[in-house]
Amino acid sequence: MSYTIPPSLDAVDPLVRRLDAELRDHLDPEVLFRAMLSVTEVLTNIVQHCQPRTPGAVIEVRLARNEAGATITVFEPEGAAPFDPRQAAGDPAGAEALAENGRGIGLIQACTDHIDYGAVAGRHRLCLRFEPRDAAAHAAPEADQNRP
Amino acid sequence: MIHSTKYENDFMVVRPGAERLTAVNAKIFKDETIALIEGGATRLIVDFAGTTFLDSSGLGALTGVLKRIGHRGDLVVCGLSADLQQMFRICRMDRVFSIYPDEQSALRALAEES
Repeated sequence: MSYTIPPSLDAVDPLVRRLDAELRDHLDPEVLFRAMLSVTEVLTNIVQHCQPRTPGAVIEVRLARNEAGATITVFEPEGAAPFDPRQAAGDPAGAEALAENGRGIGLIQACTDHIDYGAVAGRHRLCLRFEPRDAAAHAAPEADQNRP
Repeated sequence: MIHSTKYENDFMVVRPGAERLTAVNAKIFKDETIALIEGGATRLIVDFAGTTFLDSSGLGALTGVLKRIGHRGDLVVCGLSADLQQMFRICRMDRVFSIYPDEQSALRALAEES
């Protein structure tokens, strides 16, 4: 499944809503929110910072679902400067609790189960993979050590 | 964009007025809420009951409002959905903001502190 949007903030939310609808029955609610948050941050970052040099360049988003979860692949606009979020320092909790900016990259890193970045056929693309179940939410409870 | 209701003891409940608070509208939310502060509001309750999604821009706007109030008053939040609670936990904002289940419990808590 493939979607394209112009590099415009107004186009981000409608696309994220469509992805949400496609994944709602495929991912646990906690994972779904993390996935939508990650892709929102990625798309917003591209719109605000990537500065494509090619007029009319679009952002392409591909969605794939399987038993292992979901993969959202974002192709940066043609001519955009590459940006690998894995190489950026990121902790959404941050050193400054009242920071008004700078949490986006950290959120992508914190919310995504697996991140890949690289060039494919001359286009930079970011792969965000999400497992269908939230590991923390489904972790087995530790044995009660006080139980006789 | 925002909706506000003034209560006794100068409490002001602010509702973002948007289902999704993201980069496209976060600045408007921040500017309009700060306008209330500049108009004299010092005890704010931001009720997120009608907001289902919040990204880093929306959270940044909220912290911007908190910084503007500073030591002059209070800003607490209420009505966080499970998704927004998760967002606050990831960003450790549950350590920055006092969080209440709903508007009434927030009003009661702030009244007891007065």
